[in-house]
Amino acid sequence: MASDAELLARSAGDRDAFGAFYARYERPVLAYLARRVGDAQVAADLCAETFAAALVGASSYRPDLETAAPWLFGIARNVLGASLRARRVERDARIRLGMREPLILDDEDLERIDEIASCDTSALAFLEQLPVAQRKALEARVLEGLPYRSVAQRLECSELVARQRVSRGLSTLRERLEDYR
Amino acid sequence: MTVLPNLERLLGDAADRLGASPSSEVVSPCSRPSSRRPQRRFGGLAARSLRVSVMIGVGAAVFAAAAVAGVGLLTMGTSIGPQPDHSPASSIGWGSPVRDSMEVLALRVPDPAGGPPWGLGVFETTRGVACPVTGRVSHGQIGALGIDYAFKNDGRFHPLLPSSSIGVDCEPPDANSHLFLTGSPPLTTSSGDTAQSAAISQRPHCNLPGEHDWAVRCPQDSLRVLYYGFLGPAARSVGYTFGGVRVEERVSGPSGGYLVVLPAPPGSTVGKAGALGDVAATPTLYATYTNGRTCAIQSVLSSRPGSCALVGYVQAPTDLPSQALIASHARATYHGDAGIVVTFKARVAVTNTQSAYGVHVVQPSTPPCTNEPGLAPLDTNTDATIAAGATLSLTVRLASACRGRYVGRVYFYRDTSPYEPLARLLDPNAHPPGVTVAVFTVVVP
Repeated sequence: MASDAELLARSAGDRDAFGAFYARYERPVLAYLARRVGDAQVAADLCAETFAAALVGASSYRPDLETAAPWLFGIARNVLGASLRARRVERDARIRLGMREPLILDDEDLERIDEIASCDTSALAFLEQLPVAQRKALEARVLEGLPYRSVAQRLECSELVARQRVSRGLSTLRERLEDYR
Repeated sequence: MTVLPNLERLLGDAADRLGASPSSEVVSPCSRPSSRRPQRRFGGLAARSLRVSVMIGVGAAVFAAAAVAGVGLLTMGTSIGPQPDHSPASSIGWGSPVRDSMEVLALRVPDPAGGPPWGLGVFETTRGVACPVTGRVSHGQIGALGIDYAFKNDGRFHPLLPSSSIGVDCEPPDANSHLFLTGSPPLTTSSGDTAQSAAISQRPHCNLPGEHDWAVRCPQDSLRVLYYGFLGPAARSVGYTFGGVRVEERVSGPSGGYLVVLPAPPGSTVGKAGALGDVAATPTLYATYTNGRTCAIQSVLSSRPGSCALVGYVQAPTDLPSQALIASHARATYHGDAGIVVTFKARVAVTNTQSAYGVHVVQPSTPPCTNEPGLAPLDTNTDATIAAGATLSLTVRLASACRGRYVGRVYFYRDTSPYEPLARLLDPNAHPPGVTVAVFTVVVP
């Protein structure tokens, strides 16, 4: 499986590469945004701008980390922040990419986004603040739904360690959520 | 199978176009060979106690004043602000800065690499909002340093003009003139130039055409994460844990101002598509209030459940005018692609950002004019100061070519509720229903 860095490096001119990157992170990004704005249509709009900005900035991505998730979620947060300040969903990246065609959503699309957001993803807001090892384990297990064996392969650790990291990550998230609430 | 295959297709098309157009590739100027980079000017944490004249190694003459003063003063450079033709108008949007209204809070925050401290200021605008300003402090002013490519590395201190910060994080204060806001963007460079409207040539690391500041990778040790804002009069302190050290800082000023400056996590980039790298390495900030309550500071202050960032907010009375006072006649005409133009007389003045006139149009309900996804709402409103008695013309752009009879309403509203950008994002036209000025109908042939 190609790494995030490999996909991003090939994304300019290779729709399949960026498509694979998009497919890998679409659900967690949608969930992240939908949980914050509570509206499926706005979340989809923000998601579109986030991935467009990622495509624009792909050439500047530096694979210091094993996963591009922190980088991508950082962009999502920036897009959300900029949109909040402007009181409209930013379109700069899409305009820059010539994406003039509107994103048409039907009821089924909106329902799917609501379903993703209604999953117990309230911890997403704090996910990015976890220790790296725990966050990666949670991303793989909870957001991508990988079996523990695959999580362990990706993290290059034993299945037992992968389970421990997920468990500890969830425990930390619960504590932070309780603090928050 | 993705959730939004349509978006996947649009992005795929964009990726293909990007490949077909090499000139559109984003350049990372700071990734160029290291020979272009100036040497770091500050020697790290251990250098904090050194005098500025020692830490900044551009030239002895430049820092002679600092050496003499010994209190961190640098030679003054040009001011940071928009070009004259980009100056914000005093009667639209957030307005323009009120002369001499800039107040620099007493708090001073050391930079991780030493040098002049960071500070937080706030100024008022002609349309009644307050705008925060952050930067390095010298000569009692907030500004930026000519380091890390900013200002051609002239090593000088460049005071930040209030006009350069209009619209970044401005918000109206509450009834007691207290501010409630969290500042953003959080990522900047050690130069301290956070001015969004400063000339491109003045931006840190980006002394290049605007195309090049999209996502700029800079020397890691020159990036900073700034957390700042105002938590209101009931806030007592802001705390966080960084590098295993627990820090608790008292807030400053009557509106509870706070500022935290930390090194940016690895992999961070600046620019429009810039982002924090390893966000796991950034701390969560907690506010503690005088009643002992503690809560995490959210990126967006809100009165929503779960947030305690609006503790002490006092809402100003709305005081809407009576309909008898404000009623007017509205004339609506269809102007083809331009949309529907509605003209009416404004009998009540608009003096700040919390009041406005608006127009709402309802399109015919017959197919195919039912709500189509992705279409803009048929609303518009003023965003300017308006004198009583002025004649206004507002244009509502039609999102589709639906023919038939459109029904509309002109209204005046005043919204003094806590400014909540999230609510505005969900519904850009979300505001109280206001007072009806006039109703109208117009036929689109």
